[in-house]
Amino acid sequence: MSKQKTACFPQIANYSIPVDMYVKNVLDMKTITCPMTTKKTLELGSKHSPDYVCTPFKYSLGNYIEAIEIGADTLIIPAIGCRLGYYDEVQKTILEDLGYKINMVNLFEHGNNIMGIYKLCKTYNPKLKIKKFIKTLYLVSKTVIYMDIMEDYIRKNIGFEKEDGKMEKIYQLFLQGIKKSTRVKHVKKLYEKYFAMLKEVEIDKPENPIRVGIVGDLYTILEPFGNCNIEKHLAKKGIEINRPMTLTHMFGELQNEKLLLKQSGKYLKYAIGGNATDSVAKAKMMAENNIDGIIHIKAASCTPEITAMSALQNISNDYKVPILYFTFDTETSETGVLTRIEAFHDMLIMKDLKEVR
Amino acid sequence: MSMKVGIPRALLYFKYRDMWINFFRKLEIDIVISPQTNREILNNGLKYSIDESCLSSKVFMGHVEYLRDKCDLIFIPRVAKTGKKQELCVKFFGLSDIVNNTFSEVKILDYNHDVDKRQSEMKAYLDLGLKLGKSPMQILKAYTYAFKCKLEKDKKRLDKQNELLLFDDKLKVLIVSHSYNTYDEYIGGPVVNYLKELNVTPIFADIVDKKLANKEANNISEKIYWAYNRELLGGIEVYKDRVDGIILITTFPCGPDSLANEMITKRVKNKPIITIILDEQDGSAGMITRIESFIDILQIRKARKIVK
Repeated sequence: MSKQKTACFPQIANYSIPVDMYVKNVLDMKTITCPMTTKKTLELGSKHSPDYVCTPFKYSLGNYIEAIEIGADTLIIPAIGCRLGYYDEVQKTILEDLGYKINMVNLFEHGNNIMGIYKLCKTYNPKLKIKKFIKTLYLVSKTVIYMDIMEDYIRKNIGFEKEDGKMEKIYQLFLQGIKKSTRVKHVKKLYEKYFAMLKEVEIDKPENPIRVGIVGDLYTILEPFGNCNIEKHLAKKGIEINRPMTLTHMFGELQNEKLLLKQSGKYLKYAIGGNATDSVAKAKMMAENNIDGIIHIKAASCTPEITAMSALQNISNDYKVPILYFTFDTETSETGVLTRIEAFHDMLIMKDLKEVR
Repeated sequence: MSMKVGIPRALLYFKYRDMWINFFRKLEIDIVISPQTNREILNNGLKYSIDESCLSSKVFMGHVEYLRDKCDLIFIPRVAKTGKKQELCVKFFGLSDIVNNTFSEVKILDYNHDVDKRQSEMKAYLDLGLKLGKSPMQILKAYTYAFKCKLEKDKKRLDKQNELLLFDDKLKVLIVSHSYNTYDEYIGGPVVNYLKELNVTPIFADIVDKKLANKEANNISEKIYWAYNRELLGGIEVYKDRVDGIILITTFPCGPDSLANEMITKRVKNKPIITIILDEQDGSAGMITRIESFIDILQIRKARKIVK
């Protein structure tokens, strides 16, 4: 019998937990958590990447190299759409050139429908029963949904905590708990317990706080290291953060192009690739709901989001919503981001005062 | 009804010119094509584009700006996917939306060629013709005529290139770049002209038998799904043994090229390769120096081979 493989998923917020569940159960591999992304990871990634490729390529390549160093031999990648769909072959070639012997598993090798995913699992784990496959899918999607609900609550309220850091602590406990779960029941129990605890955390939220919406490309909005902890900095200023784009969302609405185009109204006629159609749709929706400001974040040279920007500028003009644009590459400094957020915050306060008068 | 349709001489124009021009001519539609790119067009393109867009799309915006007050409709089709492993860069998905959001008064004439949405090429042209108020019979005739013209022209170009490869004993360099860069007189033009000045014959990777190229591309990359990059990779495989060196010309920051060029430099061995990245900064001195020294190297290599 061949040795069990050791798999690794790059760091994208806390989503390596559900992905690990999936890999363990249906692909029958051991999993390893890649070391936390640091500046060193970035340097490593950029050194071996093409110069002007989009930033997630560099981040994940750095993650992979560090994971290989501690024993991973199988790299998991959800390669689909835009440029991401071609990452796997190029990254594999680069890693092989560096002398690493690795295997790359694209979760969507045979398409992103259920049959395609099942077919892929079968190739790696021929003994897989369909019952277990369905069960695991259910477990993973439920976990992601619970995580997203909790994170959404935290995003909206963490800025108004009376005692700093309490919510984060509770959420970390929840994550530690679900790591070992194999059943939905267990995850649900933990979710109910910790969500109740979260709601008990004392907050001091004014009736009409400043509300800011975040849109952008999926990787950069999900991964805090990729966006210089922008959400944390916003929360510290006492801002309620709205971010309708989550991973849950990716399973559902993002697949429905027609709905998204309808939501985008006159700003888009065709789908513009990546998840940028969604950025426009959600920005328009938030603008209609009288949000105070929108922050658009993207990885450097993200083509679909650049296309979205031309539509966002019109939304900004038509609905009189200020939009702040950020581009994150490997050289972006957190201080610079902080300064721009501060200025944006000041402007929102002044705008608020003017409207009250 | 005399309606004038403006065609920007950028991006897809260089892929579909024979098709479009003949199609419109057969349907007796007046067309106006913007001139070759010049500094003014580029400057206007820069002015109306998002900073981070690629140079080629900025040039496109310049051409749209030029046509803005010279026609009734501007022709900006959407070509997204033309077959299996034949996709276009996402930039092409949103071209008409970018123009629509940038110049709100411009009226756009388009068709949507996207096999994932059951929009085949013929269906797309049918939609286009109906928008122009023609009958299906007329449209079909014009489409077949245009398609035939395109095939003929393609064949002529291919034959000419094959002749050069056979009978020309000058130094030969393969130019690997998207058609909209190579044939744009302001973008790829200076490189091509300079090569000719140096008495070097340029061979173009995109003038190649499409079917053969599609197959050969797998030697460099099996998975790549961008139609134009696939064609170029195939072109490299087909011509690499008959040329002395390869020049990759890329406009900054081209998404597909960023990955495809990495694969080329990693997989194509035993042939000198140079990558030239063009951006909106004027000044060709850097480019000229690099090409000159590259050609020098090729000449030395060739001379050595003859001596051996």
